[in-house]
Amino acid sequence: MNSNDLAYEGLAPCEDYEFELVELVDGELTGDRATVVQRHLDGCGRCRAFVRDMRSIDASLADALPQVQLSADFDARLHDRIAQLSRAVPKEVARAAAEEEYRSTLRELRQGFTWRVALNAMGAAAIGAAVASALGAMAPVALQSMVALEPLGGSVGLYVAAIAVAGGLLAPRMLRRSGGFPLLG
Amino acid sequence: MGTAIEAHLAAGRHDRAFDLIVPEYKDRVFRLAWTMLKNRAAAEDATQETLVRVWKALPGFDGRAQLGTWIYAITRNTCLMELRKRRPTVSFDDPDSHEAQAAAASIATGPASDPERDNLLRLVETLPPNQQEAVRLFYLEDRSYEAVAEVLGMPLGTVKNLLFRARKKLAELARPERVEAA
Repeated sequence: MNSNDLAYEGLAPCEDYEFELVELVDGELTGDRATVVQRHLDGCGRCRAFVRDMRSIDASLADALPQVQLSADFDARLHDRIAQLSRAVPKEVARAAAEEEYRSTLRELRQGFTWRVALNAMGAAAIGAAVASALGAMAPVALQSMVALEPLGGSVGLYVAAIAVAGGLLAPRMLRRSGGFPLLG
Repeated sequence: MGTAIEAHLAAGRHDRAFDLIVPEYKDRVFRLAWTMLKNRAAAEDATQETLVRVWKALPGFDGRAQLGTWIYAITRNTCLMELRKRRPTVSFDDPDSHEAQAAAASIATGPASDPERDNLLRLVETLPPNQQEAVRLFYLEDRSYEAVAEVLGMPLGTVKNLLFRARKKLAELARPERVEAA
């Protein structure tokens, strides 16, 4: 079946009026425009046929489409469900509790952070002092060793630079891995 | 009724507002759900779900949209979620499919078995979904263009146009059979 088979053929309504003819059938067209359309309808057989079909399909649809209704116990079931949800922890209370928990966690983290910074600073100072003291004590021995190694092809400056570079590379990695100075953070 | 609901909402009395919302909107919510889901039980479940969602969300309703518009939007979303759940199993050829059962149920819930009536319902099923919804709602809502426009969230002109095209098409489709039957 093609679209031409579906057309009204000789009974097609006037295009200028067809939309308003349906409004007229629905009782939605009022005032002067209704009078104009009705006057046209009285004198136009094709539009009268169209209106007849529209009234027929309107009545058939009104008759055919089921008038559905909610079941009698709908309200009772809804209220049971709402009551059940109300008995559960009210969402304002749950939300307030969640927010308080979040705030207290933040407070603890902040306090922990402060202590961590202080302990790390103290640790750094202590280790620095110990290293400096050890270096002070070992410096003459180390210097003598380096001087003794000089005839083998090295130089004191080179040995000191190598130790400094190795220390510089290793220290940040150790700190990153431990999240601060070991045993203090 | 509308102003009483608004007054309760403005005063933060959400439970009292909800008590008025249920009788005011449940039938329209149900009819909209039925036009979308085409199955009575599914439409009733969707109505329950919609109203529970309304109850939960009511404290956050800020009044920027009309209450009805907001409730019908929740209804449409609820039904669309239900339709999406069904989609993987859609098969009109399968007599056990939800759609096939829904189509059978929609025919079976009418007043009496009537071949002409059943045929018309089948023709309605061939219309585009937006025209089907408009037609079904129009006859459920006592032929009110305004009610259909409000429930579907469409401009009045769009609803008129949908209803015009739908019924013209139905008249065209039904005409040859009426001529044959005569």
